[in-house]
Amino acid sequence: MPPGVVLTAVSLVVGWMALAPVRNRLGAVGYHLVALPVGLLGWGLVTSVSMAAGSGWGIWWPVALLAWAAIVAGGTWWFTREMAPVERSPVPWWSFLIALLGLVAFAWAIAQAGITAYSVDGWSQYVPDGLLQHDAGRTSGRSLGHRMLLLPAIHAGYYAVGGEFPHVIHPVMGLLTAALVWVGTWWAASGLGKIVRALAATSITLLMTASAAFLFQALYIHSHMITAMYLLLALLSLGKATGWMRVSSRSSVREPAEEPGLDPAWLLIAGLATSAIVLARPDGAAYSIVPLAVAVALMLRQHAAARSVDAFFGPSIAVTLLVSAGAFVQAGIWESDKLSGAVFLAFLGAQVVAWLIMRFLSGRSPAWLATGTNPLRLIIGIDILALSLIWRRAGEQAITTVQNMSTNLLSQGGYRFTWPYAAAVLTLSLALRPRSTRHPYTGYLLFAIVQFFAIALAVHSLTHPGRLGWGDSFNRVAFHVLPVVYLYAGMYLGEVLAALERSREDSSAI
Amino acid sequence: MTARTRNDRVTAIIALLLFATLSLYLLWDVRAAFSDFDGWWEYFEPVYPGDDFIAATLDAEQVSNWHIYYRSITVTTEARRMAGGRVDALYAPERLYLTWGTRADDPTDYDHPGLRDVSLEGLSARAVVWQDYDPVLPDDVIARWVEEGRVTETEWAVAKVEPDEPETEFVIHTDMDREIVYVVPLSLSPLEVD
Repeated sequence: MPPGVVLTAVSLVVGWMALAPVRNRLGAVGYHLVALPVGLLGWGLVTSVSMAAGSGWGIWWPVALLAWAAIVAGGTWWFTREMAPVERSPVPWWSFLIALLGLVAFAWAIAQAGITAYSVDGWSQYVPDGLLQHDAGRTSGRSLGHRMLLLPAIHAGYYAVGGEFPHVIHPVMGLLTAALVWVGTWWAASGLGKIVRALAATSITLLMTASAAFLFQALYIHSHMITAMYLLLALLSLGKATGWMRVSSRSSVREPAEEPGLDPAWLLIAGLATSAIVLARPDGAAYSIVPLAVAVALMLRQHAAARSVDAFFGPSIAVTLLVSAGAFVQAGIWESDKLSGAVFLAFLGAQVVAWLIMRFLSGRSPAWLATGTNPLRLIIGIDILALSLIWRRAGEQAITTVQNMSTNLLSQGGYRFTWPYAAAVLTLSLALRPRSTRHPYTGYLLFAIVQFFAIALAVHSLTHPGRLGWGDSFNRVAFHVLPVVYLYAGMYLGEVLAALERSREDSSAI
Repeated sequence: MTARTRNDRVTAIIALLLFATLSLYLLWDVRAAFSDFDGWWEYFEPVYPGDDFIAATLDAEQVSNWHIYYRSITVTTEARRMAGGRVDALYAPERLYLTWGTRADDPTDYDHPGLRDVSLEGLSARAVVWQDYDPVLPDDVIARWVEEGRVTETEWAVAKVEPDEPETEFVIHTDMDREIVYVVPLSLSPLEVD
C-alpha cells in the first residue's frame, strides 16, 4: 500500500480513537470530518517524544500515537463527563467504512498519479526536516524558527510508514478543507429543504475548488493548506459549539437554536485546531489569535462556564506545550530571525494570561459584554488602536505593505477574480441581508476574516513589506482565510435562501 | 405576509441575483484554464515524481548552482534506499571538492555537478562522518563492481553500488575522472575506519 495512503488511514484511525468518547455528541458527519485533523496532530507528539529522547522514531512510534489518542480521549471524556447524553442515534458502523474507503481511495488515486507541486521551501526544508525528525529525532533553531514543528512531523510520519517524498497528505488536506466548507454550509442551512441545501453547499464548494489558487495549494508541499484547514476547523468548531450552526426559515435565529451555553466537545476541537495553527507555521502564533478572539467573544457573549473556558484553552495550550516540549529540551530557547523560542514562549504566556482572565470572568461577564456583538466591537476597537500604533511605528513600510498586499490580491498574486469576488460578496452581505433569517454566527465569521487581515497587516508592516507576485509571503498567507470566506459566503447564501423559503411558506399559509 | 417578510423577500431576491451573477463571473474565470492556462495558473506547474525524492529533483527549479543540492539529495537518498531506512554512517572526504576536482575552487555546473557539505549532513539525518581520505577509486575496482552487476547509475552523476546484504554504513567515492560519485557500502569500500 502506498505510504501516503497508510499515513492517511493511520491518522484517521488515531483520530477516531481520540474522539471516541464524544462521537455521538459530534454526530457521524462531524466525528468523521474532525478525526483526520485530530489524528494528524498526533504526529506532533511522536516527534516531541523523539526529540526529548534525542533518538530516531524506531519502532515505538505507534505507542506514542496511541498515547496521543488516549490523551485526547481522556480530555474529551473529562470535559463532557457531566453533560447529559445527546439524543442522537449512534454513529453507524457503515459510516466508518465510507469515511475510510473514501479517504483511502482519494489518497490512493493521488499516490498513483504521483502528482504534486513544490518549491525550494519543500524539497530543501519541509521534506528534509521531516526526514531529520524521523531518522534522528533532531531539529534545529533554523527549522523551528522558519518551519515550526507540525508539517515536518507529519512528513516524519510519512517516513515512518516507509515513504520517501511526502506529497499525498497535502491533497488529502485539501479534500478535507473542501469537505469542511461543504458541511459547514449544509449545517448552517439546516432549515432549508435537502435538495436546496445540497445545491447551495455544492455550489459554494465548487466555486472554491475550481480556482487555480485552491488547486495549487492542495498540491503544494508547504504549510498553507494545513493552516487553512485548521483555521477553518477552529472557526467551524466554535460555531458548532454555540449551537448556532443552523438557520431556520420558520423561526428567528437571533438566539441560540439549541441548548444555551457552549458545547465543550466542540470547544475542545476548536482548541486543538488553534494549537495546530500555532504549530503549523512560524507566524501561526499570530494568526491563532483569530480563533482565540472569536472564542473569547463567544465565551463573553454566552456567559461561558469555567468548564467551557477550560475546554478551549486547556487543550490549546497543553497540546502546544506538549508538542513543542521536545524541541525545547533539544534546542533550548532557540534563536531565529523569524520565530525565536523566546517569542514562542511569550505567546504561550499571553495565552495563559487570557485563559486566567476568561476563567475569572466565567459565568459573570459584565452585562454590556454579554449583549449582542459587543465583545466583537470591543476587540475591533482594540485592533484599531493597535494598528494605529503599528502604522505609526512602521511608517512608510506600512504603506508599501498595503500597496503590495492589495495589488497582489486584486491583480498580480495569481488569484484572478477570487479576491474581488470575496470583497464583493462581503460587501453584498452587509448591504443586502434579510432581517428575519440572519444567522448569528455569520457576524463572527466576518469578524474572523477582518481580524485575519488586521493581523496580516500588523505582521507584515513590522517585518517585511513583501513583493509583487504570487510567491510573496502575504499573498500565500492570504490563502489561509480563503476557505473561511467561502464558508461565510455559503452561510450568507443560506440566509438569503431561507428568507425566500420563509416568504413562500407565508404566502401558501395565506 | 407581513411587511417585514415582504421586504425580506425583495432583499433576498435582489441579493440572490447579484450573488449568482458574481458567482457566475467567478466561474467564468475558470474558462481561462482552457484558453490561457499559463495566465490562469501562475504557480509552479504540477509535476509527477510520486514517492521518489530523486525524481523530484529533476522537476525542481534548475537555478544557479543548485545542482549541489540535487546531487547531495541523490547521494543520501540512494544510501537511504540501500539501508532500507535510516543511514547509520555516511563517510565523506573532508576535502569534499576531491569528488569533483583537485582544488577547492575547481568549477562545477549542471554538466559536472558538485556536492554540498551541509546538505549531505541534513539529508542523511546527521549521519555524515568526515574523514581525511582520497575518494578516488581505481578504474579496475569500479570495473569489477560493474561486472558483478552491483553498479546502478542514477541521476546527477551518482551511482550506487549494491551490497550483498543490507548495510547501513556507506562511503562516498568517485572515479579517476571525478565524473561520477559512487555511494559504496562500507564493506566494499577500500576505506578503513576505526
